[in-house]
Amino acid sequence: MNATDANSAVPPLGRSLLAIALVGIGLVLGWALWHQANAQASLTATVMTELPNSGVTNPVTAVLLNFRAFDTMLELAVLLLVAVTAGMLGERRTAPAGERPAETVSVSPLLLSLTRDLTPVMILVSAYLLWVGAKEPGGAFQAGAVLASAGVLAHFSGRSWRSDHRDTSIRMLLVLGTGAFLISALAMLGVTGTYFDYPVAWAGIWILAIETAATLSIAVMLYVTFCAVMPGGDRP
Amino acid sequence: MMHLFDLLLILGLLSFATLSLTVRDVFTSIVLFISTGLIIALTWARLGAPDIAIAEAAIGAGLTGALLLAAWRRLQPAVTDQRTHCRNGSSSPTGADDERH
Amino acid sequence: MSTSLLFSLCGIALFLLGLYVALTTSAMLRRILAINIMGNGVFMLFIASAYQRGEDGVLITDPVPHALVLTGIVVAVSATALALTLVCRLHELSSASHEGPE
Repeated sequence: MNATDANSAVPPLGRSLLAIALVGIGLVLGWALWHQANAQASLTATVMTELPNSGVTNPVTAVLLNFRAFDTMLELAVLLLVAVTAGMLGERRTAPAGERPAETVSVSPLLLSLTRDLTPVMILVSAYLLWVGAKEPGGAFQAGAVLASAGVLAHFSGRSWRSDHRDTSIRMLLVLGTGAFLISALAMLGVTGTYFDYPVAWAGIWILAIETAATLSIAVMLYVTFCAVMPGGDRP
Repeated sequence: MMHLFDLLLILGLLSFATLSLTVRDVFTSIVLFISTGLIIALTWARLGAPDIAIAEAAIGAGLTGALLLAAWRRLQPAVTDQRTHCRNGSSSPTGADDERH
Repeated sequence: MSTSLLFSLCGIALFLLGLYVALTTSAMLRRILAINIMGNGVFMLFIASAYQRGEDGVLITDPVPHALVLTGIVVAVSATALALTLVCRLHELSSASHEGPE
């Protein structure tokens, strides 16, 4: 009938066998954990000795943006792929539908005023998280998520941000994060001879610049992906 | 004292996760999942990972919840999914994801 | 029992719970939820392993697993979103073919 019926539920015998097998796996895993609980493999010391050279004082940000910057770049590439794929799937769906009922939906005035009052606060919180990420908990991912949530809130109250992934400015924002990482990798290859090896003196400001690009990019990518899932079209 | 808090946290986490995955109505399931995300954020804070706690609260509970609810509404069989803001999980939505077993 | 071990076991329990439901359910949305719970179990194992107390009782957390989990959470939400898009698309296609072409 519909897609979810395609695979039928497992019969009771299969379920109980599966449950027994999973409990067995759990016991083995628990036993293994119990026996290696005292083996303390940790990279804390390495990170802490290198932290003064990273340009930031929050160790997590140092790992994300400096020591393991390659990981973070590839992660942004994953997000980009998802945003583009989801955007395309959403686009196909909305293309044939001529009517655009999103405009006629009556939005509660409470939601409208909530959006109006909350959006500036969320943008401020996002900027604060981005800025404070160098020293305290925070950073590009948290800031991007808060910014995307502001977009989601706007979408719910019928005041969507522009989210068409074929739009040039949206496309620029989508690739901004990955692009900033790529440029920094190549620039550092020229300056210091190693990818992502920032000179200590201006590592801090450089990381902030990349993080700003990444924040905008993450927010737009998450928002575009959200709009592809949202019913009623991805454009106002 | 700390152990009591830990046990409460773990107990709450496991029971919310179990409920979220076993309860019949999909809407309830999603709401319980969002609550699980919030408890997980609390757990990250307890385990000395405030960076992840912030990310989890914003992403795991906020964005994932919005995504799941949006998808839930799109999977409703009713064609008037835009006009009706209904949430009576018991009355209308029987198709799509409810019918298991 | 140390805090790290306690939360590690909780992570394993979450993972197995998610795995069981993901394998047995037939509802797509619930399966996506179950896979998310599985992921959270893995994250918890990571974070619990990063949680250590030093000799003098001072909390020392390993920032590398934290960074990995932070990356993982963001990837998990985008994978979830992609899965949801695909499920919605599948649903629309199959219901459209059931009712005949539009």
